[in-house]
Amino acid sequence: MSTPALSVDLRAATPPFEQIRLQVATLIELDILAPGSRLPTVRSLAADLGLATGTVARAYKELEAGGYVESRRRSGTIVSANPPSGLPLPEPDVPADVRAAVVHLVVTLRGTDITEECLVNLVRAHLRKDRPRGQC
Amino acid sequence: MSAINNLSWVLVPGAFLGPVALAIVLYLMLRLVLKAPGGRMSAISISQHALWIGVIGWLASSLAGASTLGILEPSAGTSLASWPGMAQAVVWPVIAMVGVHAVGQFSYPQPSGRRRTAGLSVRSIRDFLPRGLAAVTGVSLVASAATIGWVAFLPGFPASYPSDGAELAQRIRPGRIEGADVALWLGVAWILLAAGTVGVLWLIARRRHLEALDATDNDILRTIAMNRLLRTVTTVAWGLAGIVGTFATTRDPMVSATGSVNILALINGVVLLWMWLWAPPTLAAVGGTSGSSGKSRSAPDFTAQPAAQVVAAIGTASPFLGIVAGVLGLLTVTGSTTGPARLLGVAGMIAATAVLTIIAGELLLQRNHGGPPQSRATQVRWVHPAVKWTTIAVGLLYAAVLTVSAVGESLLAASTGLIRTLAWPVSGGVVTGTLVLAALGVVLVLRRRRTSPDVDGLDTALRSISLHRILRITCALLIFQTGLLLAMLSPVWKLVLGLEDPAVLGVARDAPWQPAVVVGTILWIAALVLTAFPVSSFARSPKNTDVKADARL
Repeated sequence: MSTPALSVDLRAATPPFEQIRLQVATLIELDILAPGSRLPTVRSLAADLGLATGTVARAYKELEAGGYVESRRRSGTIVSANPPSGLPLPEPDVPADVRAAVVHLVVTLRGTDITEECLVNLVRAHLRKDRPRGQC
Repeated sequence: MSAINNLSWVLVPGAFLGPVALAIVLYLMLRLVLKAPGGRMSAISISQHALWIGVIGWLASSLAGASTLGILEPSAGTSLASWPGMAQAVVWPVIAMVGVHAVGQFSYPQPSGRRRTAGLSVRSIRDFLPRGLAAVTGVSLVASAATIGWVAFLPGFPASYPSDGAELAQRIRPGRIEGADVALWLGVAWILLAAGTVGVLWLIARRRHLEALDATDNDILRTIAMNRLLRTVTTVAWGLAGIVGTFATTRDPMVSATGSVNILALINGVVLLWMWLWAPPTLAAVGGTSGSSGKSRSAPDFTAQPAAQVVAAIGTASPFLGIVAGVLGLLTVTGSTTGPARLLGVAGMIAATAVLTIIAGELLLQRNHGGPPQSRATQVRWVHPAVKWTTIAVGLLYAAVLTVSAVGESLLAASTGLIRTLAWPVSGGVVTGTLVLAALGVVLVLRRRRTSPDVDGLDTALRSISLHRILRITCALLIFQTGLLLAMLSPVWKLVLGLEDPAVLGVARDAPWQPAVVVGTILWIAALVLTAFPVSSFARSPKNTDVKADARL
């Protein structure tokens, strides 16, 4: 299973800390980040993303306030045992990289003015374009 | 006493500032290597950066200067039997090696793109550690510790002098100090080695994500770094054991008339070869099996072109013939030009022969593959700015060191009546000759007729390769000569910098001045590293990034 990843767009309308919070929350809601799994330290994630530690720290703080993660002195930041449930869980046999792509698509959508309906129509159009003739 | 006090004020800060300055220089150099032409990192530049760290770290870890640790040899100019001498000989290489790898991990720049990505996994050393190699390193460290513990119980004995003074040079039997003293400093080096290894492994695992690589290649890069570190640590561990072996096989003539085989040194040699062959993995992006950022374009394949094959052959023949000339020089140059002058002269012969080979290759290229006479090119567009400016800077540095060496030796000769060496005249002569040949080579490369057919910028690439080879050889020669002059004429620098009274130098002439020796040694080692630096990374013209020479050229 591939490692879940974050993507931050510095030019998006959504602030970086909010992008981090949204993506991590969505990954937890979709069970891609399982309860009890450890998140990178604030300093480590900030170094990887090239952001200030305060930005990542704020995202973690808001995730903790929302009940998604818990901060422990020795273990660092871990996913809560009972995180808030968001979207209904998808089919269990959907590959993790497909789920991650969906998460990324949703997060990108939230930084724009595109509606959900427009996005769904866009996805359907591309799926029909790539589908071989004669296949439903 | 006041002179010694003044010297301590200079040396104590110098002992600290010197390594810091070297670390800064290394950091800047590694950052330069990372930035491929165009100012952005690529998988190739990252791969070469990792190679540089490994090579420099391996060179810095050399314990060759500590092979006679604890041995009392009255005929030797320097003694590795005193605490300062032993500490310097075994501790500094370990610190230097660990420092190089640590600086290498810190030299990666922050992400600068608009879109930043990062994995959400917690990285640990075990995720990237090459298990088999780590096991070998662990066993080597344990074995090294065992030998160090054993040597602590070996007794010392004094050097023995023969009664007949006419046979003094042949019959002095070296002695050795108490084994506990040797074990102390070897133990300190071992502790620094073990702790430093763990520290650098931690740094490698925690190193930031590089945006020029995908997640897989980022992980492979960490494994590559750990591979190179552990291989060097293994050779150092056995190097410490080899020193124990040399110490232990120095026998007390009152107890045993004959010596014994240094098995630990033999094992050290075998391990060295074994580690040399234990290659690290390759980045997928460099191997071409999967793209990383999709930024690199496919380069045309030149290897089938006859002109390119000529240039490739020159690349093989040039260093080979240079080495042959060097060996012949070592065998034939004797007499009044022994010592430092001999080494300086032989280095010049190697460089000059290598440049002559390139010149011959260019003439052959023009004769067999040259186009019409009106197709000559004169614009200098194919030299990487870093190579050009480095060569100029090094040339100025060499000129300064040569001048100081000449002036210093004149002052020595005038004040003490000692005979001057031929070091700086020989150096000046061979460097001048090589520079003349290099200038001829550059003119030839620029003025020769274009290769025919000129396929996809082949001619530009071939000229770039030849120019960089000439500049690299010239730069390496200048750095080597500078380093050797500094190291071998180090007493002169004490006089020129006003740190010693000229009359006193007549007595302590053979005592090297350590700061100059250290800097000089680092420089000539850097010169050897430079000769091995691949040309392909610089073969791209700054203004023609579509052209990329094959790595085999």
